[in-house]
Amino acid sequence: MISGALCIGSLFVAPLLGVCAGALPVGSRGVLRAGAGAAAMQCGIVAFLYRAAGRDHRIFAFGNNLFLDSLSYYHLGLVALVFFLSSVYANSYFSEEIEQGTFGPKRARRFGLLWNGFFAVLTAVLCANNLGILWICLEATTLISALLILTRGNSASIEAMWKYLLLCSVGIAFAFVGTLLLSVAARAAHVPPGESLLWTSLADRNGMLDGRVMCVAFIFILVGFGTKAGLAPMHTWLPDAHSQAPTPVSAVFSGVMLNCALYCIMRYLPLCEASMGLRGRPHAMLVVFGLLSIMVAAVFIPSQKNIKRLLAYHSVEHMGIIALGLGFGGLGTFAALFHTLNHSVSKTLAFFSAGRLARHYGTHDMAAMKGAVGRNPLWGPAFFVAILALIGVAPFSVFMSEFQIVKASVDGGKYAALAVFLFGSVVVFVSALRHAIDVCMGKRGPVTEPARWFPRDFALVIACVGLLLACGFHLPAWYVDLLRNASAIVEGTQAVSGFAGGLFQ
Amino acid sequence: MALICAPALMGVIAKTKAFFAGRKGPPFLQTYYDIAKLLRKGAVYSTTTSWVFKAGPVVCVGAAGAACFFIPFGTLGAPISFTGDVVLFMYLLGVMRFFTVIAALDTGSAFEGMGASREVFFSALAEPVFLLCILSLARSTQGFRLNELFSAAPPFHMAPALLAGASLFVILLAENARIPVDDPATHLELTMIHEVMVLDHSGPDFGFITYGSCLKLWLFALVFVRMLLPFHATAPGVDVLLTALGMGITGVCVGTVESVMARLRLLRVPQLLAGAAALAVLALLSGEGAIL
Amino acid sequence: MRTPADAFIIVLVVSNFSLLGSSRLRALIRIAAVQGLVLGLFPFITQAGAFSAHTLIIGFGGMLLKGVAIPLLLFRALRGVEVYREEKPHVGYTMSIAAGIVFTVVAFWAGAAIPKSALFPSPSLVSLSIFMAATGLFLTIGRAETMTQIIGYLVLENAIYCFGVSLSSSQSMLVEMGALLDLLVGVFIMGIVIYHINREFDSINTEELEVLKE
Repeated sequence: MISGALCIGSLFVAPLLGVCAGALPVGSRGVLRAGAGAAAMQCGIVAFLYRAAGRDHRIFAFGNNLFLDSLSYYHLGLVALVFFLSSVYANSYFSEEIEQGTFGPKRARRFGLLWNGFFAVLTAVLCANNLGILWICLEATTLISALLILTRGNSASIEAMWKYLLLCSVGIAFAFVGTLLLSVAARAAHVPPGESLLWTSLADRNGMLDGRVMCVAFIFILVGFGTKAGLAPMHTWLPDAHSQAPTPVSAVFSGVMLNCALYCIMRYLPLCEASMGLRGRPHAMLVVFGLLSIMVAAVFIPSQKNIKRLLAYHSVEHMGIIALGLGFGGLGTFAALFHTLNHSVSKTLAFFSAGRLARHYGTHDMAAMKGAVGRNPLWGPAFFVAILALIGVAPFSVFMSEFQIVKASVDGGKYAALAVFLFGSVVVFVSALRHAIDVCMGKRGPVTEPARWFPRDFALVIACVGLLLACGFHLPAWYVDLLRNASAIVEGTQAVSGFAGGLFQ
Repeated sequence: MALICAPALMGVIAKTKAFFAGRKGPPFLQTYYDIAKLLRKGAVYSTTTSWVFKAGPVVCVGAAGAACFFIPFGTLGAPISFTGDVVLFMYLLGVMRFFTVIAALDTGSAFEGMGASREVFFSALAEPVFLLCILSLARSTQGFRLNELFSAAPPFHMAPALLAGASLFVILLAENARIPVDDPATHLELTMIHEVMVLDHSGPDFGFITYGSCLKLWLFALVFVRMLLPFHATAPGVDVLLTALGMGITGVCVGTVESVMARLRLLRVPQLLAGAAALAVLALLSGEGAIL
Repeated sequence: MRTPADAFIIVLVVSNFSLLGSSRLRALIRIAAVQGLVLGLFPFITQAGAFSAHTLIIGFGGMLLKGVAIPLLLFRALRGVEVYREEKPHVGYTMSIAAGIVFTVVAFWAGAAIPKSALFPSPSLVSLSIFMAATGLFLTIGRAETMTQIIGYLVLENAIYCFGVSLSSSQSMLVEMGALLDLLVGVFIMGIVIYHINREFDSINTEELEVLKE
């Protein structure tokens, strides 16, 4: 039996190796390759841990302050996957800058340090049992990612970084108030002082926490972590930060960081729900924020001109959909968790193609990018496919998860929410498709550089598209099992292994 | 007693300022000599003025004198006292200001009008704050007569007394046209607020005005001192002596502030008064039986 | 005034008002430093007699970080900046003080509404935290200079620290120190941003940062 500390510690080996590589005097390419290698190693470690962890998949370490369960594994796997894809992409993305000399060893080392540091801190967020440590690590992600936005030090990126830093710091301060209130409720319920912030002890004491205090705490948590997750109306930093950061960083933001913030909300959800008598108030709040995000995205997407801002608002919408699914509960939770994977992969692919196309055309303005399919036979179609996937065209997996959310709302009788959701989705569908057609089809626009790609780019695109299609058709049993366990944790019920109901029999 | 001693306070202030400037300064009783000299002179009246102009100074002195009857000195009770007389007190001071202002407007001169508008603006901000300070005192003594407010022996709370005292000091400076709100020694009309309103008064009228402002300063200083020292000594004479000493110290404080600071820009005076308002609100909130 | 804690509350409220009314950037940093020092003394006041190692470390650590280290970082950040006053805030200074008065009344009324129970042993400290949080948010939103927004964020963090202290919790030291350290690093990074903003735009007024709009 391997000790828990060793297991959880092994999760940090890969990112820390990447950080060390960032400190060594290797060239720029070396740093980026080290990053990709670290992420690949992490994928392997997460898979190994999940297999080896035993029946209920829980591992504890460091006096129960760190632990892993199915929800953590799922998100850890997601983080590792997206980081791997983005690190591989970073090698292609920065290759031109390396050749031109603007991405010299010093900048590359700094980037590598921050990149892998970001990876490490995100992993720490997902391993935390102590909710205070969870908060600290999420705040640390804000700080490190703010420096990542500044990689290209022009005025627009400084502005984006400032807005992001201030807004997310204030938001996370609110989340800290929520954490404090939770500890107050825990002490009132006579939880021993050393355990008052441990998620596992609080989850075991279902229903003993003071309802009113937890209600107020959940509001603070939702607003605070929701700022980091990009839920409206606290999303205003998202378009700026995503559009100004370098593309691999944007991909990681959208694909992973927003999900980690939602993960924090998912951790608090069963605690608050149980203490408030299972009447569904936290769920209702989630539904409200989710719908608000979808509507805000629907309002802003049609008028976008910058390709990365378009994708950023899309992220707002998808975070809204995930929050909506969580708010519906039951099948909705399952669908929401499934959606995190789908959104991450498709948004990553979309950002990759947007970045390469922007580099190719020399601008981020969609009016100047035309005929991408013709100009860039790899990334043009990739962008189009990614947008199709994002807006929920069958048979891509996003369609499946959205359909499941619809089914969950119908089962729960929440027709008003369903109506708003469908309306928002249709608006986004039409406008995003129109943007995609504008960019990809039509007369070829002027380019500043010849198109170039590497073999790894092909591999990336095929991997992403393949994953999206495969998940759309059939989910492997182990994945369904993992999702079921994870959603049971969020629901606060006991996990039942076996197949999920619904679409995937 | 106030009627006699008020000009002496001005003397104290003048001496303090002179001390800071390194001079010997005018004699202590200079203000008395000034008023006497003015009363002996003849008055000059502009052809554009009406009875209001002549009535202004008279009403000033009358109102200030009447107000003196309501406020106790030390433990000596006020000659006239009834519930709510604090409001009458404030209104008498308000009447005094009102008549000064309309007398100034009566002259039809631009400078007076400018001074009048500034004076009214600042007093509109200062009067509510004064009321708040009185209210905080009333809250702790549970009474609403000036007699009770100042003669009762409430448990002495440092915090509200200090806060209200600080606020009152600022109001004192604002209402009596002292630095940092207004410079009484300036000779540039554009920078004057109070002096320019009385620019056209001469002779006995000016004497009355000077005497009236001395009385007003005396009254405010009395309120300030009682706010900070609301306790009793056993012998009644000691109280009177202590109050007199307090008044002297107040004069020294005013003189110090006048010597040390420059006049604030007019833009900044509302900020100063807002700060005083904040302190008064805090005094109100932190008084006895309040939320803090 | 019933307890010594009340004296501290009054001092902190007055310091908040001076933050709202002051326009000089360096004076703002000094006032925030004083606030941090006074807040660092709070754990000693509320847990008088029970001086555990935990209290000592939190108290001294807090005083050191908030009263010394963070202001030093901020002064360093302002070294190259030629701005001394905030000339054109979004909300004027008189209005700020008036807003502060409204916040005071609301905060203390809200604090009075919380019943004094085992969960919340000192409602007046809760009122103070609400007031300070409102002041911090007001400074962040209503002012245009970057430095003032950072001070607003610091005041917000002070308010949360005060709230944590008022709960008289024997909070895990790790969490408290982690939070303080996060604050330190955050301010450090904000200092870096100010340097970049100043270098790029020649001022630290956020009105200059208007490239990214809809």
